Amino acid sequence: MKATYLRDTPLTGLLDPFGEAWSRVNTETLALSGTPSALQPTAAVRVAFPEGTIGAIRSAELAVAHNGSEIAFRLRWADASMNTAAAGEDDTLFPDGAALLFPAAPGAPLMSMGAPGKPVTAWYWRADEPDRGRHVSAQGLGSSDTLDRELVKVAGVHRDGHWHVVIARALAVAKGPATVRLVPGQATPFSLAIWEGGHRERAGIKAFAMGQHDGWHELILDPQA
Amino acid sequence: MQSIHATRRAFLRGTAIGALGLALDLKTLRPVFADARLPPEAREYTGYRDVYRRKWSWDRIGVGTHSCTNCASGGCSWNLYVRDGIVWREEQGAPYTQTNASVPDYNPRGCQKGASASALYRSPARIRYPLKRVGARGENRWKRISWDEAFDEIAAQLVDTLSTRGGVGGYCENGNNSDFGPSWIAMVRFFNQLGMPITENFASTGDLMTGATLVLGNPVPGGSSDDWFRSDYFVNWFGNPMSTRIPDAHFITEMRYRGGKYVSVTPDFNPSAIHTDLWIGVRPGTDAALALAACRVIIDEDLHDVPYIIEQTDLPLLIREDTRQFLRESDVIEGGRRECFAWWDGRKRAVVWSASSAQFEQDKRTLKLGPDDQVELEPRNARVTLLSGETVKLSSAFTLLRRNLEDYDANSAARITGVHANVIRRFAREFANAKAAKIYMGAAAGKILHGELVQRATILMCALTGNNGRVGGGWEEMTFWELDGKILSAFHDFPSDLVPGDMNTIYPALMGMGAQQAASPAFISGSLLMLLNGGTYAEQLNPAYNDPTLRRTPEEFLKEGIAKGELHNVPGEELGSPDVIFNMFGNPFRHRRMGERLGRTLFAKARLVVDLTLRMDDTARHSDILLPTAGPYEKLGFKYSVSYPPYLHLADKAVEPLGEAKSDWEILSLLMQRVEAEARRRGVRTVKTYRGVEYDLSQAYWRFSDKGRIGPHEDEKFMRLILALSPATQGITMEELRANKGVMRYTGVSQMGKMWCGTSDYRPDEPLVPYQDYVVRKMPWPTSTGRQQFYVDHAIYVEVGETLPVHKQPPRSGGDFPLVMTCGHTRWSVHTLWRDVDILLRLQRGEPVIFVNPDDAARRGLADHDYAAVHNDLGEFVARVKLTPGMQPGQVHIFHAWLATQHVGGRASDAITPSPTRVTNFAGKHGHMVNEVGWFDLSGNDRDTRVDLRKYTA
Amino acid sequence: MNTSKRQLAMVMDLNKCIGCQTCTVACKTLWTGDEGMEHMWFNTVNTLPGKGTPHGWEDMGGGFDAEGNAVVGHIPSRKEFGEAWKFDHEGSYYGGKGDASHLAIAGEPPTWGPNWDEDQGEGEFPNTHYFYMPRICNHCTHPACKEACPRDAIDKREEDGIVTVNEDRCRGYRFCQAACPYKKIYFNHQKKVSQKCLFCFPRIDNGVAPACARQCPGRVRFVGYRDDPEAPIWKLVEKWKVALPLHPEYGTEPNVFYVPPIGPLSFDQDGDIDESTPRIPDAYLIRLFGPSVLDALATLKAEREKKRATGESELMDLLIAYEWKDMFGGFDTDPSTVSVVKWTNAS
Repeated sequence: MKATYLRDTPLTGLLDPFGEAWSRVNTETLALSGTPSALQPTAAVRVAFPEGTIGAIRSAELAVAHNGSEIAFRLRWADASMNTAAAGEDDTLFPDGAALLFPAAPGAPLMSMGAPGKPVTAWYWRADEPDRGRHVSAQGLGSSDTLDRELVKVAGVHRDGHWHVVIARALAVAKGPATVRLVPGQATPFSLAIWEGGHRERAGIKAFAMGQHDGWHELILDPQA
Repeated sequence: MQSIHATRRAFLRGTAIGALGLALDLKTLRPVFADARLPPEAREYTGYRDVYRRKWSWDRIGVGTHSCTNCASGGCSWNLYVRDGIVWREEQGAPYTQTNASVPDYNPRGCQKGASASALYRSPARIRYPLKRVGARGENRWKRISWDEAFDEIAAQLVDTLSTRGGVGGYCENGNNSDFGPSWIAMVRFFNQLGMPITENFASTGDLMTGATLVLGNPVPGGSSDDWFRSDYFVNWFGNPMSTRIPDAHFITEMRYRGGKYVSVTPDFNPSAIHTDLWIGVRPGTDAALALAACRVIIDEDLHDVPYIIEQTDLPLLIREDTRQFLRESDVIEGGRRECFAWWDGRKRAVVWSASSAQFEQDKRTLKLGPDDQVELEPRNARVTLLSGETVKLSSAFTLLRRNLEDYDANSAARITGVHANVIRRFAREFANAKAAKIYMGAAAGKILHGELVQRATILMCALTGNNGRVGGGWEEMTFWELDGKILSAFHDFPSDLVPGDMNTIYPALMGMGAQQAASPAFISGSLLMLLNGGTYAEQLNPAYNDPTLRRTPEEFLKEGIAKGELHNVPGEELGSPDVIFNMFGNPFRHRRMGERLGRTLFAKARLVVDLTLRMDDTARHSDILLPTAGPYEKLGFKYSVSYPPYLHLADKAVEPLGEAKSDWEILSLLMQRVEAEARRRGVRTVKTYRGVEYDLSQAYWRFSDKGRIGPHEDEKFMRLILALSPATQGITMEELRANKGVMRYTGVSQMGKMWCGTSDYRPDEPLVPYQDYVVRKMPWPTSTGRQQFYVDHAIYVEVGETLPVHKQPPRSGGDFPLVMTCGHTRWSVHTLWRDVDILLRLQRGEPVIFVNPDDAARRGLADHDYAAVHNDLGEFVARVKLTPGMQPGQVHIFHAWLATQHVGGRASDAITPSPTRVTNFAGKHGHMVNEVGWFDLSGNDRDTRVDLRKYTA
Repeated sequence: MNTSKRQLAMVMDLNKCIGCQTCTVACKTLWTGDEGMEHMWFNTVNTLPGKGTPHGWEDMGGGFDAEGNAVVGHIPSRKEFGEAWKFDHEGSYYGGKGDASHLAIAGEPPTWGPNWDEDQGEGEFPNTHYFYMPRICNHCTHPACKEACPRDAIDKREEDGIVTVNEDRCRGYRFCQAACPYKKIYFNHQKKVSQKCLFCFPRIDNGVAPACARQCPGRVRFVGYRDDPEAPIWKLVEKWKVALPLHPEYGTEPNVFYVPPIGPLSFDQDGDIDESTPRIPDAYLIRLFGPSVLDALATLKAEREKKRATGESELMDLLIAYEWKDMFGGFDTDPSTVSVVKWTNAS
């Protein structure tokens, strides 16, 4: 997967999922699969979601672009129900969500959201706070921790039975624990996850994109020409 | 068993992930890190605990209780937790020490209303500033005005009225949400000094037990609730103490664990039935038949206590067979005493004048019989020669009673009451055989047309079995622990002149109160005012809603009572056109049956209606100026004191009043200053009181303020006067009270004599048992015969066949409709107070409900939570249906005191309850049966109301 | 299984509970007044038989089966619990519409609330029956909520077994709500965390009994450590065996115990007393408390008779609680004497 270099496209342009800039970026469809029930941390979670019931969203379209200082991921997936946890909705459902995932240590396992000592980091968007991203790390299912609420910029719109979500971040960032650095011209492992709140997906109950590299997909950032 | 979490961690760390082959090989694809430090793993989070610790925190703690609340439990001690000058929460202080080791202690008195009082006192309904009506009355449009504007307008109107019409030109509606302190004193002093009458509503609400007045010489007899624990057979009759006596209910459940039995007699399986040993689901309004059948079993099976009956009751006294009147000394001796009664001596074969009689030589009056006395309970062939020379046959009241009870064999009573004859027999036997049997009579016994008969019949059960006066036994309702100092502070012109603690000045002052009250306007009958001037005359006197066996119309009885002067304090026609109405401590639009009609009658005639009120309610809505009164946490007071807990409760001022609210004493002090000033400005001096006595209006504030000695902010002086002038509180100081969480055990009882709880010597280390003066000390009872008096020979009682307690079928009050609508106090409010508090509404259904048996509902196509129009001749109101299998078929039940504004359509159940008049309430001037407020007065009722239900759609 | 060294417990005597809800309100005003908590009632009292809070909670799953396996549970909705209805006070008092407006509940009419079926019960008149069932979190020895949480965000205190939601760790996944078979966990939709009864641990830490217990005017609730042989809890649960856990088959080993209700006599078809048929059906009580409820009732009746006849019975004296403070197993400190963090410092 390639992150297209878009010169002189400001972050605001990238954050608009229907923005003109995205017409210049290739979209790929990624297949998604559910986290295995057996991996879920507790018996109650496993009985609530037996094998085969996790991962309601089976595919998502992804486009990636950077402008030399920020990188943005535009996700789009079909979801007839919009779950935002707003008043009036079934309050036992959960907000829809999406995240870009990156290993934050060598050998960090994707499917279990990292492992002790091997964190995975996530750029996280959720439909109950559609304009506010989170920078999250996890060292295994059930251990996610929000590190920061400013770093990750997001925008999400539900239109025509689809979620259109942009998740972005600066390429160069200040030091902080479990923070990946994305460098134009280089490749990085990544994946993405989607939670279908109408299916009560939350926590480790989600669909994720299984890639070729021990689970991770590869993302190559176009060099700045 | 291994921890799931331990298993899970091992699973994550190794085998499972390895087996799935997901460990990442990043030879070709390496992530780059801005920072490869690990985030802190499993942070130790404990901050949430501090959040909860902070929730349980406060600046300071005040003590208090809910003084201006007609909560008949009698008081509870509360610690008031204050933050930023606001009581944010309250918790029971629980300072009560055990009376003695044989009874449970009183802790931790309180209820859910008390626990949410701070929510009431800062609720949206609370009036925060003086308000003036700008729309039509009842329309709910208001503007904020200043206190000065309010006082100026009210003072001008008062002086207008007083200077032209005198005290008859207005009156004060008085509810029962008063304290036993400066607020009540403020009301009485204000209107008394202005010569304007105040309504008394004890009877109008149906709380006055006229049957108890007749039999026991005490409309509300009772003792302390820890005596309930000592009962062996506790009968709740007509009441619902588990809901309405929440702080005292544990004495009943604990009495059961002591081995006593608990029986409840109510039509429906109500919350007080669930913990009984036996619940008797009597048909509504047939209670007297049940009680009389029990009396019949008791006598037939010789379970009655003959020596007690002979000594303590009028049953051995002689009745003339020709007139059905008592034999009186005046019948047989020239110049003989009228209130002097006789029994038949079996040895002498002659009448003997009972030394208990009210007009017997005062120094010889006693219930004690002489060693040679041989009282015949059922004399045969007793005769006496009258002054006329005529010889008449005499029967004892007991003989007549036996004859009377012939109608009440268990099988006949079973047909009337719906209670199986075997259940009646078992009940009667268990009651009579119990070491101590008590009848706790619910206030509802005053709230059916024939409640007086139920009271008399149930007291008879207690008297026949010798239970009245027994530890753990006897008939009781609810009585007051009167603070005489409060009465003196209110009615005495200059209470500071009395010498505190000196009974030689206090007693004569108290004794003088009676005469002073007769001359002063004081209290008039609220129920008579409503009947004569409130627009309810036709309904209340409608013969179709009354006892069908009457041979005259109720109106004829009323007119006769007025013509003969047997009714006292009759509010005349002139008062029916008031210029000014005040309202304090109550909500007459709600607490009077058909009270909403005030809006078309008395209120409609008034130029100015002033409501001193805590919050918006039905009456406030129909007033012109609302004066915001301080809540109980915001002013000084003593809790309205009831004998169940024998403790004085201080409501201290814990915080400043909300908004611009002021204490009642301050409001009326400032207003009285304006009245005096306005009178002087206009040169008005002499005006007349309601009773025609002249006084100087330009001195009104001087008198009101006790010669200026008690200023608008000096209400604590009254608190100290009350303590110093009340026999119940001798030795108690404000300082001690404050140091003891506002609660101290009474040190004595009121000396006011025949009424209230002062019928026994009081010992602080014993539960209070009423009637010891009579049963142990053999002092005569405060009745004409000086005995528990079951026979009433007033001509009306003879005419209507009620010389002895009988059962009469409940009337068709409101018309010939198939359902009886009963009513009762709810656990959820103290009358309308707390009715509209959100957190309590959320624990109900949020709006008014009527309890309906599922079969009755199904027949009308009504499902649970449907709106029903509840209707009869008088109209209809709307409520949600609550399907309740514990409701007796044919009975529907609505708990009282929903605000009219809580109902769809703006009408509450009271609007369709016609409160038919009990014609015996128009009797008076007959021995101890004196028609006066708080003693024997026209009793309001609502629980015979007939209705039907249909589905309501808006 | 229990990781706590000691366990606090509560016994509630259903023969003394009068359904007054003082406990409910005491808890409400202390803990759940904040925004987002309006619909929460950590303490509830329901009329049984009935659907309770949340509606039909006994059929919502959770807990463990006989083999100790987690049972699938349902997350109760706010509607099932009952919303915090809003009332238009302003409009009613000042709206200028007179009788045409009333103090209505804003929005859709509710269909359930935390005490919706109060005083209804079951049975056909005159053999109707009901009693009151106060409930708090059971602070279970085998807490299904804690064991369900994928974040380990529920703490069980080592020193006394109090179970609390660690609201700092909680991410609002609500597996605890599904797993708790008693459905005593609420969700704060504003803070997006689960919240529940905390056994008033700030009070416990100061020797003060929980508000629901100390404020109970019916004197229903005993408090204390389960292993204190001198205190009422041990005597009622272990020695006299008259206090039983609710739905022991849920497998969570609750630490709240109930003295079962005795119930009044019932009537036969003619309306005469029927000594042979208990008003509250045995089967119903067995369903709630298991078969040992019949032994507990027999013990209560026998001791009551003994107390009546002889004036002596340790069990009856315990239940009477002549001295109120004796109910609290040493947690009888007067809260007004406790020095806690000052509000002004905290705000």
